[in-house]
Amino acid sequence: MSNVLGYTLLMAAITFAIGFFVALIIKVVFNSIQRMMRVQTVEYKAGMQRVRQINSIRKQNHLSSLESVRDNGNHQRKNRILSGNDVNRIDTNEIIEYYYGKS
Amino acid sequence: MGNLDLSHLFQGISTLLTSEPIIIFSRIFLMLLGMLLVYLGKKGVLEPLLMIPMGLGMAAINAGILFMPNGAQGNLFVDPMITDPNQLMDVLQIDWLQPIYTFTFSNGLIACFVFMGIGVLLDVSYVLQRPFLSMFLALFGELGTFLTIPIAILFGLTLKEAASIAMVGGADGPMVLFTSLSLAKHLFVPITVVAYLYLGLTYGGYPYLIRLLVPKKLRGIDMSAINKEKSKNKKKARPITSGEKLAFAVVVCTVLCLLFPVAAPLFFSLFLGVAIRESGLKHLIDFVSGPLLYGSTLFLGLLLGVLCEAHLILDPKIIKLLFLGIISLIISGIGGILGGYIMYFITGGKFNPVIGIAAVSCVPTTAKVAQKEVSKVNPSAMILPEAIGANISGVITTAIIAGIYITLIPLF
Repeated sequence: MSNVLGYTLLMAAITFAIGFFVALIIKVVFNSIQRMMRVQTVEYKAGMQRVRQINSIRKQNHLSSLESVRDNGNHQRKNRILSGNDVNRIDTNEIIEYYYGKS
Repeated sequence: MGNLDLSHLFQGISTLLTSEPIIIFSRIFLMLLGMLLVYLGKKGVLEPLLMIPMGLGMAAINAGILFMPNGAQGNLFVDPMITDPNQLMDVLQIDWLQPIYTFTFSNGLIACFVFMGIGVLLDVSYVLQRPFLSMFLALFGELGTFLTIPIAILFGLTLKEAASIAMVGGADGPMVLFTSLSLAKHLFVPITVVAYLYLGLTYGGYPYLIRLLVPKKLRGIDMSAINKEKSKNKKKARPITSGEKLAFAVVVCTVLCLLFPVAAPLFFSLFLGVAIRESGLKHLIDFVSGPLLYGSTLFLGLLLGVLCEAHLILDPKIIKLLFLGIISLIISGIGGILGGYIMYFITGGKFNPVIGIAAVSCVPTTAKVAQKEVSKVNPSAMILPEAIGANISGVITTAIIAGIYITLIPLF
C-alpha cells in the first residue's frame, strides 16, 4: 500500500510539474508573440509616417505613382528621386527598398 | 415441417430460457437499462447524442442473442474477444459492427476523432489570457484521478485497473477509453460504460456539490471587480490573435508528444483540432466539428451499447467500478472547489470559488454548471471566461495524466 501511495504521489508531482511547465511555455510563447506584435505595430506606424513623406516627395517630383519607379524600371526617374536635393532630408532609397524591394 | 423446432425459430427467447439464472437476470436488466437510457437521453437528463444509440444498442444486443453454428451463444453485432487473425477475418465478414470495432474502436482511433472534434470546439484564448490560474485550478480538479488509485487498490484492483477507473475523475470519455485500452483491456468495456454514464450525470449532480461546499455569499462573488482592478494596473488586455493560438497549439503539442510518445495520438488529435480552428480552414472546421465528431459519437455510443452484452460485461468487478467511478468524480469536484477556495484566499476574497468546479474537464458542461449556479445567486456575475479557461486546461491536464499513467504504470 505504501508503494501505491508513493507511486501516486510521484505521478501527482510529475503532473503538477508538467502542468506548470506547460503554463510557463504558454506564458513565454504568448509574451514573445505579443512582443513581436508590438514591434510590428511600431514599425507599421513608422512605416505609415514614411509613406506620407514619400507621397509628399512624389507630389514635389510630379510623379503619378511610385509604382512606376519599380514596375517600369524607369531608372532616370528613379535616380532623379534618389539624388534630388530636395529629398536629401530622408533616405528615400531605404524607403523604396523597404516597401517595394530592390528594383 | 414436422421437424420444426420452435426453440430455433425464436432464438432470442430460447437462448434466454436456456441460460444460467444470472445471465437471464442480467440480460433482462440490461435490456431495461438500455430502454431507460434512451428515455433519459430523450428527456435531456443524460447526454442524448451518446445515450440514445448506447441505450438502443444495449437493449438490442441483449435481446438478439442466438445459437452459433458451434452451439454456443453469440450475436451478429460484434465479437470483441477475438484475437486470432484467421477467426477475425471470418468475423469481419459476419458481424456488422466488427469492422468499426476492429479498425476504429480497439485501436483508439474513434477516441482520437472525438478529441479532434473537441479541439475544433475549443477556444484556447481563455487559457492564454490566464495560463497559471487555469492550470492551477485544473490540477486541483484532477484530485479524484489520483486519490482513487489507492482507494481502488484497497478494493482489490490491480494498479493498472485502478489507474484506468481513476481516469473517470478526469471526466473525459475519450481519455478513459484510451487509458483503459492501454492499461486494462479486459475491463475497458465496463470502465468506459461507467465513465460515460457518470459523465452524463455531472450536469445534474455537480450543482448539488457546489451548493453543499460553497456558501451562497461566496457563490455570488462577481469576478468583474478583480478584472477591473487588473485593467487599472495594467494595459487593457489585447484580444488574442489566431496566430498566437496556433503557435500555442503547435508548441504545446510538440512538447507534450516529446514528453509522452505513448499518448502522442491523443495530444496530436486535440491540438490538430485547435490548429484547424485557428488556421481558419472553413471546410475542415465544418467537417471535423460536424460529420466527424457527430459520426464518431454515434458509433462510439453504438459500440459501447452493443459491448454491454450480459456475457461480456458480467464481471464481479463491475460493482466496484460503479462505486469507484462515482467516488473519483466526486473527489475531483471537491478538488476543483478546493482549488477555487485557495484562489479565493490568495486574492483576498475576490475570486469566486465556484470556478474551481469547471476545472473538472467535462467540456463545456462543468463551466456552464458553474456559471448557472453563480447566476442563480447573482444574475449580474460573470465567471464564464475564467471557468472556460480552467475547463480547457482540465482537458490538457487530463491528457497529461493519461500520458503519465500509460507511460509510468507499466514500469512500476
